[in-house]
Parts: sequence; C-alpha cells; structure tokens
Amino acid sequence: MTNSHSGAKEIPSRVLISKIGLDGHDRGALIVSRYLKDQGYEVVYSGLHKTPADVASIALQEDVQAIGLSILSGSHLPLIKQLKTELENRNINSVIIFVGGTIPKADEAPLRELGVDGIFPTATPLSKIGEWLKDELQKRKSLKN
Amino acid sequence: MEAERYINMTTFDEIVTLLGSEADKPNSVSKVTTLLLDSGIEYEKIKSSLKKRTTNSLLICLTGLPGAGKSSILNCLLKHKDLINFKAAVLAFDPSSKKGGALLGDRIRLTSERPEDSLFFRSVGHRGSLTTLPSNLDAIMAALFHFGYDIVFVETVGLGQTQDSLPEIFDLIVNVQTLTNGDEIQFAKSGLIETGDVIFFNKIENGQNLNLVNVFKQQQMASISDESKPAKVLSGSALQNQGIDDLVSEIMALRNRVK
Repeated sequence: MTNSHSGAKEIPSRVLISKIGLDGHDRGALIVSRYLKDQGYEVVYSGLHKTPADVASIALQEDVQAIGLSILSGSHLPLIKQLKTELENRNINSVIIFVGGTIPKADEAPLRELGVDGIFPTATPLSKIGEWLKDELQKRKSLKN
Repeated sequence: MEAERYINMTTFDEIVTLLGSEADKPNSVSKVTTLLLDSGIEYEKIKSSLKKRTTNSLLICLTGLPGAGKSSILNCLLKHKDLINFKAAVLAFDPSSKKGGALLGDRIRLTSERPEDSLFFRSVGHRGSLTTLPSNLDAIMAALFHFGYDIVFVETVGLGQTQDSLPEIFDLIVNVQTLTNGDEIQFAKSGLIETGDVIFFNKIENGQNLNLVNVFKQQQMASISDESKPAKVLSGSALQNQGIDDLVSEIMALRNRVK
C-alpha cells in the first residue's frame, strides 16, 4: 500500500491491546501499549472489562492487524474460545492474536490450538514481544504477496 | 479469502468495489476508511461511486485543548436519548510520535452500549500531517454517509494556541475548553479560543467557576461586530452529564437547516 500524501513514510501497523473479562489489572497492558507505540505501531487501547464480542467488534472497526490480550484472571481458555467465535462471526480470519499475563505452561498448547499465535507470560521482556510481532507481521505480509 | 481477491487491484479499484458492495457492510466501512486514510485519495476521484448525503445527516467536529474532555463529551452525545436513534460514525484523532507510533486512547471514554450496527468508531493516528485533519477528510466523510450513517463526529487531536484552521465542511464545530488553564486574559487572546460555533466550557461541576464563563461572555459581547457571528457559549460537565442537553439542542436545531 502506498501513501501518496506523505511520500516515503511507511504506514504504521495497527494493534489492538485489550483487557478481556473481569480483570482490573491494566498496568501490563499499558506498558505493552506504550512500548509498541515507541516501536512505531498505532496502538488502540480499549480499556478494561471488554467482552469477547466487544474485542471482536473493536478489531473490526479499528481494522487492526493484531490483537494483544492481557489476561490475569485465569479465564484465558474460555475467553479466547469465545473470542475466536466472535471473530469468525465477523469474517475476521487473518488477525494475529497474542496473549500475555498469568498463563500456566500447561495451557500454552490448548491456547495455540484455539488459534493463539503468541503467548507471553508475566515477566516476558518487552523486546521479545516486539521482535516476535515484527516477524509475525512480516510473515503475513510475504504470505499475501 | 475475501481479502485475497482484491490484492492485485489498485487501492482506488478496491475502494470503488467496496463502496458498491452491499454484502458484509461493517467490514466494507472499516476497510474503505483505512484505504482512504492511508492513500489520501481525494473526494473528486470517488465522487461518482457515492450515494448522495441525506438532507438530515449531520457532520460535527469536536476540538479543544488536550484533556479538556472531547472524548467524554462525545461519549455523552453518543448516549443521549435524542441522538440514540441516529446511526453514528466517529473518527477520533490522537497525536503520533516522531517515529510514527501512536497510542490511540479515545475509546477508553466510550461507555455507550449502542448495538454494533449503530456505531462505527475509528481511532486515527495524526501521522505528523501538516494539517490538523487529513486533506481528504471530505472523501472519508462522504464515504461514511454513503454507508448510511446519520451523524458523523470528528474529534481532532488536542489543539493549542497555534494551528491551521479547520476545513469548512462541518455543520457544527464544538470547541471544548476548561477554566483551569489561566485567567480571563487567556480568553482575549487569539488562537483556538476563536474557533468554533459552540464553545463548551467543560469540568464546570455543579456550576462552580461559572463566574469565569460569564466573564468570557461579557468579553465576547463587548467585541461583537456586524460581520462575525459570536460562538454560542455553553458550560457543563461531561463527568456529571450536565449541560449536555444544551449541546444536543444546538445539534438538533441544525437538522432542519443542514442541506
């Protein structure tokens, strides 16, 4: 895609960072949002207590390439399952999904089966998320072309 | 699969195709908005693919100082009983960093529980453009009206004492101000304070500081000239949902006048 009015400048990728379910701890989500902003992304921050339907609806309206969810409530499996359904209902099939928070090792495989592309438990260095997201977006781009 | 079909088309062809398709409207609205924002394609180019704007549709701009409460007032408007039956679209701008990134946080104030088909809300990074709003804003607005939205709100980035003027496409410009940014001398200065059809002093909880609003009105009356229509001065609190009815009245009054 070219940007005709500002010349060579590349158009930033868009990421939705959201807090899903009954979980009021947003420090991690805000730190990741800010970090990704500094890495050149346009980050839409949704705020707290979103339902899976809210997240899918926001992803559609904001036309994001990736959704990052911060979940510390332990409900990641049912919430992500619902989110997948809500995304499918809205014909959103190619968005990258990554999850951060308190995710036990044992839940990683089931999450990946549900279609989660990246899992970043608490204490993950920010740069690891940044590098992964950059690679993942690049991969999708080359798949398209 | 749908997306892959368009890959070899130019951006322009893609926009025209999406404007013409009735299927999967929510995705089309979103995609067209992105393509217009990213490409800067002008209104004249897509004009022939667009349905005419209905006479009762409204285009409202919210501008004002950073943190003055633009998003909160917008949230009150989206929830207001007189506006709830209008399909609403929002373009909410936030500043971009030099590196191009942006934290788009206008959604945080959004507590409206409108059904999905009655609200399209897009957060937009300003992307270091030389103008406050994109040069093809008219194209984006026309596309939103084409998709059947009755009222479109544009929330600018927070503005200060210097900026270019806003494009002359709005039915109403609401300038959101607060009274915590200095004394009455600030009112007499130039810049943003001179902008808008309505100046809404926000964060006036239960009428406190109302005397300063009155000082502003007195200054305004003293300097009225024949050629300039003074801005309507309103005050209230988005937090307490005070004064919002007055603002909605201003908007509703436009409905019969707007072409």
